[in-house]
Amino acid sequence: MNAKLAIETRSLVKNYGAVQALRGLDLQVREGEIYGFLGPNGAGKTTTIRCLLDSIRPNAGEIRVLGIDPQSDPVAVRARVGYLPGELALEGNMKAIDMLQLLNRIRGGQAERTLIHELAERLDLDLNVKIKNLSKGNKQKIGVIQAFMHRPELLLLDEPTSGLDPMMQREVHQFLRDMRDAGATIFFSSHVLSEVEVIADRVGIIRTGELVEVAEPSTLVQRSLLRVEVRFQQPVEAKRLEQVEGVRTLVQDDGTVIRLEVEGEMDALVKALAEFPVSRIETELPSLEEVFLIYYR
Amino acid sequence: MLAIFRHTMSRSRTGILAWGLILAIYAGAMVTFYDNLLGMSDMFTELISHYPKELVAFVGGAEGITEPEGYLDTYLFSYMAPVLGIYALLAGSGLLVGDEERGLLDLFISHPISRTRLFLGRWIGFCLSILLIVALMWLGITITVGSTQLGLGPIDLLGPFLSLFALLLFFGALALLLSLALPSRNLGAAVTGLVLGGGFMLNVIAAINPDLESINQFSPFAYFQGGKAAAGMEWGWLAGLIGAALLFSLIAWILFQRRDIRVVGEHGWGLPNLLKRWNANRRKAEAT
Repeated sequence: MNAKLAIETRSLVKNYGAVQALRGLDLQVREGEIYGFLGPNGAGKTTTIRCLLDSIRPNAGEIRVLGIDPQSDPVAVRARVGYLPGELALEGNMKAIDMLQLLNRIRGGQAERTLIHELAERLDLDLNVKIKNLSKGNKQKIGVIQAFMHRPELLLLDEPTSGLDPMMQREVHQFLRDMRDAGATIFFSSHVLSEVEVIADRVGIIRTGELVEVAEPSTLVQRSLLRVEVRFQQPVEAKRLEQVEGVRTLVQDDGTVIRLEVEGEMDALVKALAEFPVSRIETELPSLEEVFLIYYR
Repeated sequence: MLAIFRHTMSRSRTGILAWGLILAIYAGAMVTFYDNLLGMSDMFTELISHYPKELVAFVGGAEGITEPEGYLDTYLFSYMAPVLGIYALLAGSGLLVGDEERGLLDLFISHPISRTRLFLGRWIGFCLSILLIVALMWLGITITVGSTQLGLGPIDLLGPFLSLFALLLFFGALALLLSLALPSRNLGAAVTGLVLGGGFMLNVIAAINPDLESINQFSPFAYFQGGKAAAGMEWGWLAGLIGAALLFSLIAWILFQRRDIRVVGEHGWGLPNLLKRWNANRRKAEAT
């Protein structure tokens, strides 16, 4: 296994009875990167994260987190990791500060008190309010603070901005960048593609327990569908363009404007268009969301 | 481990104080009526002799009710054990699986604490909470017992409370084990409740029906001395109850080590819902 990888899994399999949650997942997260883990509900994102923490045990495969096998030494892994669960549960009768102090005590006092207050201030959270009186978003802020408060080397975040308003989402994104700049690795799952597009250095797409794509968000977008609008000087027969490999007609108006989707290189389309009296060509990159949907068609 | 232990104690605080203080006041007050009963002992013995034997068995036999041990057994320990047993089984079943079902365990276990330490922190907290409730009751009695003719000192009273503690530990540990072995906390608590209620009833009925004596040896209540322990401890019974509780706890620890920690809303393996299946089949048959 590679020492420069913060997370590495090989042929990871996890079954829940007859349901196969992970089917030989091979994952490699480099040290110091922000890795977005994309997939719809039930794809295996949370299962993967929980295997990394040894909360659940895989049926087969190997895992290394910061070079350590979580099954042989889970405490050593967790001491260096910050985790934000997807479904955060807290003690409702405790004040936010008491909950954070409890978690810090379980952590052996790894976190600095000043950092807790500094993070709370940045997130605009009153620590002296009972958790049961806090909104979902404010509870999520406690989750964010407890994951960050001990300056972990690796952050495992399951839907980190869930329930936060756009301002706070931006603040959390900034946290992530700051942590990355300080040398930490961030592995976060999300189904909010715009979020992944904005902050992730690399994106992994998981489908039914298997990693189907890993790339930088921009590469992923560029290598996928390109939307092209062609305006002709006179009506043309679009069917001839559809015969070009990787081209699909979306809309044809009166024959002078055709909207196409191009998968892969543009070369064949440009050559095919040379036969027509073209007045204008406009191209548009799809959003990551559209790219993502390709893998789920 | 200390942090988990402190957390366990902190959240049990209200329960310990509520159960412990109320029962301490009750136990302390109950002892003061002994002198009244002693003054009417002949009349009382005569009265009890006319009660149905099933009713007498239900309150611990009422044998020697005018004796200090019999009085304590009838008026306190005979029904205090099943009452406090409910506290023990709720606390035991909620110790780990309660947190798991609320999603808290997922958060705790992601921190640098081993499962063994987490288990021990919770388990020791549970044992201490039971001990504190029982100790408060003991304190309640020892405060008032000196002013009565009961003739038992604080040391004599330790036996019955030790016996109670062992029984509660037994049910708490059983509930802990069953909550980990069965699909949910509720089911673990319900099955332990059945053992508690069934064991209590069996012990009562076996007192009036000697044919049930052989089955009654499987009831934990058969090894619970209650007030009679003031006259002399059955150390073997005490060791048996505590030994069984430790064995249940050990198996629970092994199950916890191997367990996939669930998250909020995630259920364990399901029991077949026969009613649902029957309804589905019925609807299918109607449709065709």
